Amino acid sequence: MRINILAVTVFLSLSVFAQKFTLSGRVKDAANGETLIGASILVKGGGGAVTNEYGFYSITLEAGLYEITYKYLGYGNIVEKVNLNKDITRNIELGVTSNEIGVAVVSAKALEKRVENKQISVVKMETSKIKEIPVIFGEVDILKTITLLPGIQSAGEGNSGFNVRGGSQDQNLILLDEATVYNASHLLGFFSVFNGDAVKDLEVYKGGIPAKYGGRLSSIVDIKMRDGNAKRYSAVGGIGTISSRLTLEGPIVKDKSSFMIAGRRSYADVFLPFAPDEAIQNSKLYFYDLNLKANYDLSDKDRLYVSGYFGRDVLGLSELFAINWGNATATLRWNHLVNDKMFVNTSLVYSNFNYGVDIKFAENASFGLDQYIKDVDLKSDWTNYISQKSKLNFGAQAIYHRFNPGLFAANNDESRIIFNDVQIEKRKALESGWYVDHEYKQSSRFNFRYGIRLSTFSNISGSEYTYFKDANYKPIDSLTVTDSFSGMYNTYAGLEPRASISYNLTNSLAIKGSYNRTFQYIQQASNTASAFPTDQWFSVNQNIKPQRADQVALGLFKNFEVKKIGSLETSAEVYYKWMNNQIDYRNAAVIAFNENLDGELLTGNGMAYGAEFYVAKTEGKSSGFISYTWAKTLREIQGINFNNPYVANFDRRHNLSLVFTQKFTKRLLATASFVYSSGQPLTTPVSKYYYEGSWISEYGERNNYRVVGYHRADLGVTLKNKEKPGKRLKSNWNFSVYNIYNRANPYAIYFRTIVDTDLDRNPGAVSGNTAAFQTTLFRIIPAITWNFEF
Amino acid sequence: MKKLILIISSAFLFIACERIVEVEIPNADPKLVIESQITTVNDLWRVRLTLSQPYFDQDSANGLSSAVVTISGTDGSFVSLFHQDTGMFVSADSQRCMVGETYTLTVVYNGVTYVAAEQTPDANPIDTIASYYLPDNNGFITKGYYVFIQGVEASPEPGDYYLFKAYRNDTLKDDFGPLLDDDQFGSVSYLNQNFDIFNIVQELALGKTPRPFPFVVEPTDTIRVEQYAVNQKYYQFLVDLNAQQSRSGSPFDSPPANLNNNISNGALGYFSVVNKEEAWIIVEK
Repeated sequence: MRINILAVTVFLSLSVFAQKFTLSGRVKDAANGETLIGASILVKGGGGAVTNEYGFYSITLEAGLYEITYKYLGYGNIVEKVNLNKDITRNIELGVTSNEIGVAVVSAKALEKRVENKQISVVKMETSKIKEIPVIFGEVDILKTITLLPGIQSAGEGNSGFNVRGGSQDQNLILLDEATVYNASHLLGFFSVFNGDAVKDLEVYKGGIPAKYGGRLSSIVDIKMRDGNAKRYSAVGGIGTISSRLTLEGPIVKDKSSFMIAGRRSYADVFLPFAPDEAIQNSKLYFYDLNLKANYDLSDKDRLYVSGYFGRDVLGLSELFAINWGNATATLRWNHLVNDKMFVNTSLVYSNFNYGVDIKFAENASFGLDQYIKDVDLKSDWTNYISQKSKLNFGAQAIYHRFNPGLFAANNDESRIIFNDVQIEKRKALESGWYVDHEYKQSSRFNFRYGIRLSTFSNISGSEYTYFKDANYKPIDSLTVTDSFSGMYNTYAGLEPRASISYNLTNSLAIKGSYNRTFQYIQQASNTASAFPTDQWFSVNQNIKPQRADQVALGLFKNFEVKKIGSLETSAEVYYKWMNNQIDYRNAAVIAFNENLDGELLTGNGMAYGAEFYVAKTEGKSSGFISYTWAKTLREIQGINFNNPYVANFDRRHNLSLVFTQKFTKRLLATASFVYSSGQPLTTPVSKYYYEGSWISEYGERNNYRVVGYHRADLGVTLKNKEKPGKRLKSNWNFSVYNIYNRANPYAIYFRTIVDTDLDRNPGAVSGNTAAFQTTLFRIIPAITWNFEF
Repeated sequence: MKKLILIISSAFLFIACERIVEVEIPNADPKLVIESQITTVNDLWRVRLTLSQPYFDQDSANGLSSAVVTISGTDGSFVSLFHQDTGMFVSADSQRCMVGETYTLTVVYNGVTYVAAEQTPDANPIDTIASYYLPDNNGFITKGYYVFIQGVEASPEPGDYYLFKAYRNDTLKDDFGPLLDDDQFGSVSYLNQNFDIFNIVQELALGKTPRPFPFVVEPTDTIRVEQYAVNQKYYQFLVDLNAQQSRSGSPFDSPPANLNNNISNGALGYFSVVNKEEAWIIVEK
């Protein structure tokens, strides 16, 4: 009996010692209650975790006494002693380190951490980093900044998007608080739609895309907005010569719930006089955007978020003509802790991207063309924190798409008498994604992540056209067959395996690799290097199959300590991407307002490959980075370029960015940046001939010529005003110049005959001669902004 | 809709700053260019031969003189053309094409034979030409006098393609580009088949307007209208030619493409066989 009791007691105590418990909670900013994304929780003796995109962490350890350090870049550490003898919830608030600009001493350990944490092909930016990025026009611009990084190319001036690793602009999935943003730029690429004051965290995946994301081939840009100050009311903003912005935030219930409203508006009037053309003075060129957010802690386990974004751009020429486009999104999200080890977020999103043209010739000739893409998206993402080494993610998503490819209608009663409405058939589709993904940290040296995603797509109730094309791939209208379908049809399904591996060769040198396959079901048809915001979005159908990409990437990451300079982060990555079912327009395609747009498109394969190099110094009074990318992207499509491979419209061989920031004193800071990229390809004439009184061009191979390179330097200086002790108002002045040496970078080059009206602007030109014409958008543009924080 | 795009493209031009630049582009070898149109109206037949040249070579096109140029028809006709000047080859006598017959142009130049053939389309003469006064601005059209025609399509089936040329006091009015129309989607609008031309005032009162030629005229103007019934291939050639001339560097330009012609062996230009009808009017008050 006694022996039995003893045995049982020993057995029980042994099992108590072998038992594991979970330490979990949220990490927040002590000053304003914002959850911190990617904060580290380090366990003394080995191991740790990182907070997720909602600031939640979970570590499962054997019972015992632990010293836990909570840390986050830009904040002071908090060390906690935890007696883990049951499941414990520990919510932590970290304080921002003082704003003293001194030389920070970075320990070797911290260096290592950064190499280990860096995932391949990902750019991550936390709050503190976002505040440091170069400021042009007085405000922080997320998109401009990411295009300075390797592998991500701005599509050039006046272009609203960017190209990642040889993919077209519609191949980037841009998420703002889980909602898809279709057009990420205002003013033709001048400003991004993301108000820097409202952004908390940014992740860009160029490759090695986790299974959680799908629907686009080339990149994922995941942007999280700030929640709003849960502790006190505050206002941040700026008034400038080009745009102004204001963010108001505060608690609804202190520490439990907060809101944020951020708005921005630009005024073109100040901006246009810098353009030399007189006709431009009658133009309208402005944008506005509004971010709204509110959140509420329903309980310890549940948090609810509501967010919205509304933005609009208007580009117009007197009353005659205007183009406008804008995104509107609304998101409802629910964080739920099923238990200490299982976190789930469920989101319901509505998104509406509409774009249109308005023309007014006379009171009775006022009409417009409207197009939109509307989505309703429901998704649920689960994370199971199995152990310190292992994390399982799984979830599903369904998106209901509605497309309006074009409604041509009169804008007022007088015009309605003359112009009948014409509606191109609206389209509907259902897209879904299901994934499971495992992150495994085998040792401090080796970790890997692998997963699989199943994506599906179906058209819903519509017409399909079967085309019979002539020798020039032009559909023969009289032979086109129309079929009607109802219910779901044209269902496509695809498996997308994903994997990435990371191996630390030494403490400061890591080698990483990744593979991913992605499918894309909706796309935008553009005819030039620049995807205009009003280029039509459409879904796959019987004639256009889903696009597919396979990408492999390999990279080396090393941190150096260099005498007299400090610590340098460097990386080199190479990638190869195979793409199929890539679309391009046939020669002489009829693009605008074409009901049978899919008949103008041809499909084929694409290849993209390149090498990216990056060197950065992130600490100290002088900081900056150099980024260089060599990239090539080809297409091979039957019917284009005599069936030979040709460089894609946005192929730019060399891309170089240099950014340098110098903190002169506590109050004075300057940033200079220089960008160079090879010119975009162009199809030029190779001869001309005379026919019935005019010169006609004979064109050669597609994209046979390369325009001159694009380069530009910008400069920005920020002067912080003296802070009055006891006063909450902090402010600074920013002076910046865009394109400081006033280079006329080409926006488009085309060929035609010189006419009399050209002679004023081109002395020496002869009417009747043929010439190449170049249009430039932005010359030198200075700006002054006053920024404040209250 | 195409006009809409033209307008948007030109508006876009104003937003940006535009100037001539020097670029170095590749040059292809010169090719033979054949320019010829023969019609159903009795006239000398002409064929112009030139060579294509580098894009920035600003000399006028050099005419060719040493070539053998003949036109034969399925009606048994055979016409030789002789070089006159500047690459222009002319027939000795006036000729005309017959509806339904196919005419073949043969040019032998530098040892290479180039052949092009087209059939003469059918067409009806213009029934009536009239003018009317539009009292108020109406959308694209400002008030004033306009001229329109009425005619009947060659065939009630789709497949008729027309080019119209309108002259005001002997000046060709082509500000809006070539006046092309076909019956793919409805009837040829310039032919105004559904307009009661004998009761213009009543039709206007009912709110119906004809499709006039797009320029204002004045009383005492002499307006001459030429109706060309053309083949589909030539029609597409003219459409593509107009698209090329309308390029303005805006995002609405389609990718550049070469014109498709009906001449063999890679020669440029076009040999068109058209049915031409004419009508004229002196505008009255």
